[in-house]
Amino acid sequence: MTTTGPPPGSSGVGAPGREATPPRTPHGYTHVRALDGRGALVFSVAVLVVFAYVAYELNTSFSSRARLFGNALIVPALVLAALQVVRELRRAQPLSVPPEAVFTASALVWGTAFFAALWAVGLALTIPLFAFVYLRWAAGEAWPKAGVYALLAWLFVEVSFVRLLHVPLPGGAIPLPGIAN
Amino acid sequence: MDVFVGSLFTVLQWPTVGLLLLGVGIGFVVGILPGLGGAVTLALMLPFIYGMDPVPAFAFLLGMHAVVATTGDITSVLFGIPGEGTAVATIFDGHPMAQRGEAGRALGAVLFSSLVGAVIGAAVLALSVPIMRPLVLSFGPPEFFMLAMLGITFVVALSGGNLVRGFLMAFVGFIVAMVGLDPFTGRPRFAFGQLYLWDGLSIIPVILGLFAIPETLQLMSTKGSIAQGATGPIVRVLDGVVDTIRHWSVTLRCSLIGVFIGIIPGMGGATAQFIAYAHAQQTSKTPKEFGKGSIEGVLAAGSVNNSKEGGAIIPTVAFGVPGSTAMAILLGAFLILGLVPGPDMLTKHLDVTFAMVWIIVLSNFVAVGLSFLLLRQLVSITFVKGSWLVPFLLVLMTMGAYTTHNDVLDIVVMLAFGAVGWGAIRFGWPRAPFLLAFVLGPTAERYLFLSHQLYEWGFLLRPITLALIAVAVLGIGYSVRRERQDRRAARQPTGAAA
Repeated sequence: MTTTGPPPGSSGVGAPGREATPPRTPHGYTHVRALDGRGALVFSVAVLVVFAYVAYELNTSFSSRARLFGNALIVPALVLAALQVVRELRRAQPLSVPPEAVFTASALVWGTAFFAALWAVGLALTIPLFAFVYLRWAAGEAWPKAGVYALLAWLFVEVSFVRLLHVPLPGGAIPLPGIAN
Repeated sequence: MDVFVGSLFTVLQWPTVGLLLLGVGIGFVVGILPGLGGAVTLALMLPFIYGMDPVPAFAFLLGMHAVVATTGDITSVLFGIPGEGTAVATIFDGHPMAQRGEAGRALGAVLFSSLVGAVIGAAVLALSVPIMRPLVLSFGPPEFFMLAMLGITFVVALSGGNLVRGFLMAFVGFIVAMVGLDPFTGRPRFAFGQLYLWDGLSIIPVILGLFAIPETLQLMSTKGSIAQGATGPIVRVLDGVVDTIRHWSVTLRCSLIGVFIGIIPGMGGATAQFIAYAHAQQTSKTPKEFGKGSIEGVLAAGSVNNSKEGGAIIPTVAFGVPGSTAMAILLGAFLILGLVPGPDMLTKHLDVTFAMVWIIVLSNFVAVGLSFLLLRQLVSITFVKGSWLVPFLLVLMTMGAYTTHNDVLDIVVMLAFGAVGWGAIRFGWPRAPFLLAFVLGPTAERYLFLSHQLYEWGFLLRPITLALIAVAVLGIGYSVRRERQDRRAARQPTGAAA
């Protein structure tokens, strides 16, 4: 498998030739590898900061009983987190991204769009809307297919959750009359 | 014995048997479709067990989980693409057999050996109960605390990847488990003034975020279906069944390898299949045929796949120490159902433990029987595009998280842990130690508190505790040595090239 991550928005499958001569464009491999190196360092530092905060809180705010478990863990946790940060700083080679970690930019955009719509108009409307738009434009399905799927998706939620399980659906920030929010 | 037989009738009662069939049906599809893992589906289905009794809930969850590996073998044989990570070894010989027109025979062998493996795994689980009971009952809080630590150490040390990052993820999991009211003083910890956090973080939004969100994004990134054109005729399936019986020794030995590797936390199915495959090759009279379409290779991979499940349930049920991501999620199901793994599961709730044995056996009989009957139709599932599943998965994820408290904040928690899960995959931090530590955190804290109350820090010097510490140190030592060897091996070609 490829050891370098493709740029966001690419197919995710690196051609063998690409690894030998990575393009040096702003959106090419070189750029992505450098970003991943920084990201790995940021991730490690974030963990170290969390542990430092936990150590501070444990020893300033908690009783001896409440901090027993945390204190048993926090010293090795801080030592290892510091070691990991040093490793990231001394990393000679850029981080290789495993194939399963390569998400396309469009996947992230569609995922964000779903949850943004959920926040705005609630699940009852988001489901058919998202299913239709996603299948039509992201998956390239024909209009009737996407329409039927959207209708079935709405029916599935309505019948299984609302009618059978009597679970209220999460509502949206924008009140929509006639929609069960 | 009465409890053992009685639990069979409990499983066969309605609606338990219906839920088992539903779980098997879902497991079927999940096993065949790559990109949708068994552990993720287990997490997605977890919210549906609220309000259920333990046996129907396990019939649904375990029935689903028990057959995922079985049907995962089908795509390995036909397309050379594993439906599950545990079905990789099936490709080595199953796919070459399919390419030379023996797909039916390979499928018959892999499905029937999977069934035999599942039955052997379940039998060992049932037989282990009388052996485990006195052992578990002799354990006190210090031993249970050390067992929890040992389980996490093994998962970090043996599951591959970086040791330091594995331990760090476990520490993060423990700290996240501390969020909420302190069980001993009733004071909020890391709640940031939010009433929502007083109850602690629920397991469902955390699991869905860590596992389901990254996998759904992955599915959105790879849009195609796995089937690449028509498959050849699937005939002579029964020949594979006859092969399984003819090579019973390979099937039996590899099933037992699966059981014992399943018991060891952290080893998991991905490792078990290669150990069993290597064993079958070493003991075969025709080792050179392995990799070119050997029926023994197919049987080794098939039998180990399901036998490990029976083994993996033993430490989960008896000690509350899950050995894999799927078992950690199953442990989450125990907590949702109000069951405490450990001595109670071998005494007061013995019927539930034995019901789990029957669920594994029955679900595999149903799955393999249906596979033989509907093999041709099952193959058509592989033509379903990944993009068709995306809206459906997003609904299940959202509703799964939301129904925890009917609170939008549950969805926010899921998204936050989705970001953690994405970062973990992206930067090579393993997620399993986090999940195990998060699930085991409250139990470990309780046992540490009790041990400290009873013996101060002297509890670390008790004989069994010392032995468990020694085993943990050995596990870490083994992993450190392996990491060094891997690093040396990685440096060698570079040096040679220079």
